[in-house]
Amino acid sequence: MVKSDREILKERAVRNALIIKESGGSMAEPADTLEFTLLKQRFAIESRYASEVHFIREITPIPGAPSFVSGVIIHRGRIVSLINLRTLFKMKERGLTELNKFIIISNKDNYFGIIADSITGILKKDLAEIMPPPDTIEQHLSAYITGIFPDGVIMLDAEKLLTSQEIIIK
Amino acid sequence: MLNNYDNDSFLKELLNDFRVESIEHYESIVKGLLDLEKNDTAIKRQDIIERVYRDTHSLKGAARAVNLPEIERLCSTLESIFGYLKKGEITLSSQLLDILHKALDVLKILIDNLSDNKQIKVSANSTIKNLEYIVKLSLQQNKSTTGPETKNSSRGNQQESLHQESSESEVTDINGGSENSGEKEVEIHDREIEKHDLYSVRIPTGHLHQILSESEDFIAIKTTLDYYRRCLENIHVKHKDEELYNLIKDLISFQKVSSRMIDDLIINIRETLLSNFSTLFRIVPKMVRDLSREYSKEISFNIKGEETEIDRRILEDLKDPLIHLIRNCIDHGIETPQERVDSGKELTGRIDILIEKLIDRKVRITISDDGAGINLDNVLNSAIKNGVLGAANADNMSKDDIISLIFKSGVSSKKFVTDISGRGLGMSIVAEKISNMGGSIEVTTEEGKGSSFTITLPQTISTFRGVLVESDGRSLMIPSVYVEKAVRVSKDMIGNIGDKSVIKCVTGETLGVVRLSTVLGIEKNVGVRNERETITLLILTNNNKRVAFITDKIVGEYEGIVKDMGPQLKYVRNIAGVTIIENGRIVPVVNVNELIESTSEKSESYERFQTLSTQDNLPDNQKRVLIVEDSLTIRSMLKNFVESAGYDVMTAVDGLDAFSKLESENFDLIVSDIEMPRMNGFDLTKKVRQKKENSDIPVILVTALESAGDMKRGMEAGADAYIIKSSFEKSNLIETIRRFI
Repeated sequence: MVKSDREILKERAVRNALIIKESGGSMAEPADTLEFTLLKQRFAIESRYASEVHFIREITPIPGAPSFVSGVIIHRGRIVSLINLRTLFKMKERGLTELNKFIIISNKDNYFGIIADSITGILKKDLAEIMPPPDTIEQHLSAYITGIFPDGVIMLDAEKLLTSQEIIIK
Repeated sequence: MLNNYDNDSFLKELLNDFRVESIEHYESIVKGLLDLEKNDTAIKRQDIIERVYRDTHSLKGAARAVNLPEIERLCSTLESIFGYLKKGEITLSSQLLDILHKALDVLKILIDNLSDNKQIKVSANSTIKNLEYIVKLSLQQNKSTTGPETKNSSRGNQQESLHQESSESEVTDINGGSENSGEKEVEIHDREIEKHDLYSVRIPTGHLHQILSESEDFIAIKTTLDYYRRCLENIHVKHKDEELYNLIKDLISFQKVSSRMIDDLIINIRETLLSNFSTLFRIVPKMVRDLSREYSKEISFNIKGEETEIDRRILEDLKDPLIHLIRNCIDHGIETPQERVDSGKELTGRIDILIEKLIDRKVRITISDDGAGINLDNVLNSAIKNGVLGAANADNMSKDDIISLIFKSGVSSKKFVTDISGRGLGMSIVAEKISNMGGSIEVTTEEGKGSSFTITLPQTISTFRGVLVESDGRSLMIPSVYVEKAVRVSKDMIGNIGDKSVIKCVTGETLGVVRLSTVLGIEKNVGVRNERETITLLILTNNNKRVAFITDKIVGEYEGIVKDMGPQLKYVRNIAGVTIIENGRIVPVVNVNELIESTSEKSESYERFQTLSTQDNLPDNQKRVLIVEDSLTIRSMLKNFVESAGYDVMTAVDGLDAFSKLESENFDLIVSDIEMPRMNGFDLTKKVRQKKENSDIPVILVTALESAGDMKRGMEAGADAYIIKSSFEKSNLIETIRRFI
């Protein structure tokens, strides 16, 4: 019977899952994060939201789009809008160069690119270490972050970015 | 864990399947109910009841399979009612019909709740109780009416007991024998699917759309081929060369063949995606019925030509406009029964929909009613009241002019606003949506006799043709259908009326003149703007509005597909999407409808002619820079840098391209990369220096090469400056350019 096969598999899966959990290290909530910089500030975003990183090619600005939208690019046959977080977070502006990269972030309903000055890499980070952002932080920024790591890296809230009514232009 | 996940996704998939299936059954049941109301021949009725009975039965089984007890119970109740109807044990009273319709509404909500995030709280329990109650009542009624009416009373009694028996067995079948019937049903399904498979393959439409959209991307290949052909032809004009000539000839024939292949492929895939109107109209009769009840109107609704096929995407977009038009017919068109009788009409109003396929791959939909017609005075008054029309202009308007006013927003023919219509927004949206699909809408109306709306649409979404223009340094695509003409006029021909600049056409008409970039909110770049004696105007028209837009340059006409800008940019005012031209360049496509509206909304965008001419006093010495760079990234970056410094920039992809551009146009300075295919920067510099007419153009070489030897080579070739890319900064380049021009 299919059903009993399934049950056996299920039991085994549960058993295996438990073993891994036991042998898991001291990290309470380790997660892969993609780290990048904007000006000198380091930011991190959960890797599961970041599907691709690429150099910026020719961006086509869209007249009438909000200022934080740098424009659109074509990437693998798909039109992707690029968001300049520096504008969104009201940080200092700097012109884009060929060294800029974009990170495509996505959830099931939405995707867009965010522009980064440089990519640090993918790091395992303990999400439990995140501290709440200080009150002094710019309001435009605090709306989209989960907090700050002890090393000063700001953790972005990808889900908030992807579902924000400010960002999704209808 | 894994197993669990698989189970979940399997269940999700199942639920998805159920949703699709249940909607089909639901729509079929609704259609059946409406047909029952219309058809009075016993045989037809019996057919319909049989069909609906099977639908309720299948849906019940499916609901049980995915463990949705509420839907299952509701369907089971519905099934038993149709069971009684089938056997003639109860009759279909209008009261029963109403309750059945309500039950179907509940069913629809239950099905929708499966997918929607916002759950509408609804319980099938009360509905089921209502249904059971009315069945009980009907059964009793039937007994009491059939009893005395039958001549042979004993036979009547016999029948009665038979009814009871059969109804009891029906009940046990539903409750006790459920497993059996479930299995049987699965068998039937399997067999049906098998039979189906012999003739067709079931593919999710999403998949087909993916294939279609991918194949539509081939259109970019067509335009790219065309672009390269033109490049080669330009070279050939200047350097006659037999080999090149033969190459171009081959390219042209290849271009022809591949264009035809691509067109055929796209047409074929589009045709597989055609679907017929019946999917859309399955929901409409119920809507008509519900609304006519609500408004106490008697309406007979007839559709002809449902089998006509049309692109599914058009059909989806057509849904809202059509529903709006039909609602309009019910609310505005058809009078109340009393009014109809008073004006000597039949009590029941008619709404007819006729769908026809025209010869040229077009589909025509005519929606007509025999109601009151559109009251032209109301339209006029509404237009004047809402400022759409000046009172002075109203006098000499023809009937057609007045009717076309209903498509302007803010105009309504109705004096009172109701919840479904009369706000004067709807018709303008209808007209806009239809024109966005490449269609048109016309109205004819006769007071007291009715109105008729005729929509003509392409059968498939047509590839769009657009005019590529440049305005303040930006490339923009204007769909050709809106372009009335492009003209170059002398500046003197533009005059002023009030605070508007206008131009008098040959026809004597006066058109407003605006700068395209101003309306689109593209930042003015005073340094860049190049005012010449002649001005290029693009006259755009939509819904009888015409505006002349100032553009800097009309590049040419292109074919393409409008793509949306991704889920983050769902809507941008005045922009319909983007299209891809030539070698992968993205160009925004202007939504002309909104553009014209935006123009009239902000009167300040009507540029005064004075401001235009004062531009003349600004330095007319806008310099042109030619940027030669093979890397797309660096090319566009350089272009932005140099443009933002106030120069007019043209780009070339390599030395050869640059050289051919130099032949046809004048530049004040060249910024060139060194390492490029076909002709490198050194050779380009040499060639430029050899030519008499450009020998004095400053040349700046920008390169990754850092050795002193290269710099020496550059100087020898005749370059004026040499910038190393690795140490290269924006200001550095601009400063260097400023030194020369």
